[in-house]
Amino acid sequence: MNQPLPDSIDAELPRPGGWAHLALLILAIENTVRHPLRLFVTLACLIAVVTPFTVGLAILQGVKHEALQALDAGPDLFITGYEQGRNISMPQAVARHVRTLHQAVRVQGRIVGRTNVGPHLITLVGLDPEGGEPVPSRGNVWLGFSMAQSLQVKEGDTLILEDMSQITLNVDKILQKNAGLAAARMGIVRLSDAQELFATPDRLSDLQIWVNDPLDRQGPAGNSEPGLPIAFQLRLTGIPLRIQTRKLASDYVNRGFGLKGGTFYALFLVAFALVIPALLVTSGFGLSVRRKEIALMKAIGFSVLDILEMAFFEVIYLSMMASTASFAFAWAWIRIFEGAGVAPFFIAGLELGPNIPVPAIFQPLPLFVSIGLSLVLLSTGVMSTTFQAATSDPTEDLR
Amino acid sequence: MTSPLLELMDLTRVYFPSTPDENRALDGVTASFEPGKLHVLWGPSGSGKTTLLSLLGALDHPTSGEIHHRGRCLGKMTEPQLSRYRRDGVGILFQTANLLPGVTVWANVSLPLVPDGYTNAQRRERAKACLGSVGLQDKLDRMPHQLSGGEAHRVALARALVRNPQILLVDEPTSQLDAANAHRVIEILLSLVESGRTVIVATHDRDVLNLAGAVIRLEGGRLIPDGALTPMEQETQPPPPEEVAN
Repeated sequence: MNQPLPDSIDAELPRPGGWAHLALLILAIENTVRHPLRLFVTLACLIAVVTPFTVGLAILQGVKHEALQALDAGPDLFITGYEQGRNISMPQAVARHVRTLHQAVRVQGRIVGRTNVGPHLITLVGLDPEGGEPVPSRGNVWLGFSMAQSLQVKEGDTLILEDMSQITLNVDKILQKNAGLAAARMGIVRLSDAQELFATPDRLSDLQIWVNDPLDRQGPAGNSEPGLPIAFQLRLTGIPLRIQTRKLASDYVNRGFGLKGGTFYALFLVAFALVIPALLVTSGFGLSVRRKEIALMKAIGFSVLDILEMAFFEVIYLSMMASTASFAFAWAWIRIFEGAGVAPFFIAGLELGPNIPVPAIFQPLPLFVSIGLSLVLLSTGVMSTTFQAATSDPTEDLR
Repeated sequence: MTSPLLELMDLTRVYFPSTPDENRALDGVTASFEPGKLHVLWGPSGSGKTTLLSLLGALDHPTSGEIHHRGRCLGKMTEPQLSRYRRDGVGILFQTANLLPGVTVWANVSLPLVPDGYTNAQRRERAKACLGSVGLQDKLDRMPHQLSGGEAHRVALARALVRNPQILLVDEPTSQLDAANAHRVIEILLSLVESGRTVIVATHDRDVLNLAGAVIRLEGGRLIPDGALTPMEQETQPPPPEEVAN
């Protein structure tokens, strides 16, 4: 005699709780956790791709921000000599002339050049003491932190610089590590020392002019051009000069970073293109097991939409994990390892291990991009294989 | 006479058609299944039993022919309707347990309830009842790898029952079980029939065959007519007690 079934089995099913999406979300999380090796490999692949991209983007944003900030606090006009379409030095008399114009608040003459110290090529800036900035006294040099490290010198040491002539300078001061990106990699001397070194007496490589702004300028740099009256008067001198306003410089900065960013994105696009097949393999890691599980779900009543929704939740969950981890790794890469390996791509003259704080901005763009990238890469890997499995007859995969 | 629950009309399933590997797993099968009976699909390996079960469970599409469930043609159903049929119309017990690894027994049993959004408490309660019906109520929180083969099979049976289907499709329920577990599964199947459900079993276990309310005999994908003996039966076996076909 057969044992009768318990009444409970025949009892009517309770009314559904209406939490279908939540139930699918929980199942999706369980699915990812159930296959730890697949989870690990997929996350590792994603993090390996997204982290350097986030690092690059954060540095690009940071450097651009610093450059625009420097522009904002910087001069209204940049003047250089101009000949046959290229910048050349100009007479120091131009600076003296500008100082006589009542709109000019401050005029900084400079010589910027590159010279050798032994095997090292260094950027040297000679500042005119009349420009109002602190300047080393004659025969002294101030070195940026990174530059001093490269040259392996300390305060009190002597540097012999050789170009058109040879000069000997005393290392008077080494600038602090956080003095800014540009300052970290240059040497600052008095204008007369630079003129002697480069054999350019009474000449300047460029002139920076701050002007009196009658309109009490508001808003971000480059939105107004108060230096135009001086530019107009300089044109009247008849000296061939290249005059760039702050707005123009700002446009150059934006365009330059756009170009660098574009190159970086393009390089990464190639990397992504290569990674997508790899992700297809890793997300399909154990694909036969996954196909079997999907076939089982379909066989017991899951619809194609249920399965796709579950896979979508898996993608979201994994993306959040990957982008959070990538973001944390990117932060450590920049803040602890100073963007080693990536920073030199955006900051000219930087060594692979920069050894100076690299400017970086982590949000909002890098944050959203790391989430978005993870989503796109995973969707490509997961959704297509899931769709294939969900739309084929379960029998095929349950055999 | 009661109207049939499921009807097969000239059902054919050909794998790899028009290739050198073409295989006619089912060839023009016409049969019907009345409610409240234990139907046995009887035949040797490769006779088309599992293929027929797959088609009845809407896990596969026939190459030609039709299957009607309560008068509705499965071939004309949309994907959501087919999902609903698989969810509510039939329960399926595969030859292997096919439990999800890394998920508790109760979660496995209640998996078919997920798409309807039952709460965890409701799912667990229902899983408990179904596991009770197969004598495994104490295994609720175990993991599949902690179960014996027989227990895993009964858990899979509980999963097939969780939505209270009126039709249960069972593929070789005893082939991978020891005698005690096989006997237990057969008892449960008979209880289900007694409670008014229709159970369709593909098997070559003579013990199951002897309990059948109706038999569909297959060989080489074709239906063996009433009274006729297959060459294999003529050599080795007495005819089954009752044969119903067409």
